[in-house]
Amino acid sequence: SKEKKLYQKPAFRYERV
Amino acid sequence: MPEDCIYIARSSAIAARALAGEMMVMNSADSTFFTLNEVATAIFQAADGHTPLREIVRDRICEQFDVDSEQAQADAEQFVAELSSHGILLVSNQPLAPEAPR
Repeated sequence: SKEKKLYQKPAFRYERV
Repeated sequence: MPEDCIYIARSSAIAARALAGEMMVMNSADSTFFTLNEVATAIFQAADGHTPLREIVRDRICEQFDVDSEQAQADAEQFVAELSSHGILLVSNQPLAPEAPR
């Protein structure tokens, strides 16, 4: 049985250089 | 936009590299630097312009992660809308031709 990974809501962080 | 018809493609104005399961994306248009988490990275990498978002969620997210399809679909739609607003992803209800790199 394939063990699935813990789900995290798709997210990102960003910064302006 | 009907959820069955969402197509996403990566913008040509970006440079992206994967590192330790996360994707780092630089938007050259406004010098903004993004770091995507693992689920976001899976969606981003599958954004080829001709695979519907629903298929990406089904084949990439629900296959790899412990989540039900409705939750994953709703989260993915919100995510692509946010990245689209930053110019990282292109979103359409029709298949998108991949942009040539600038």
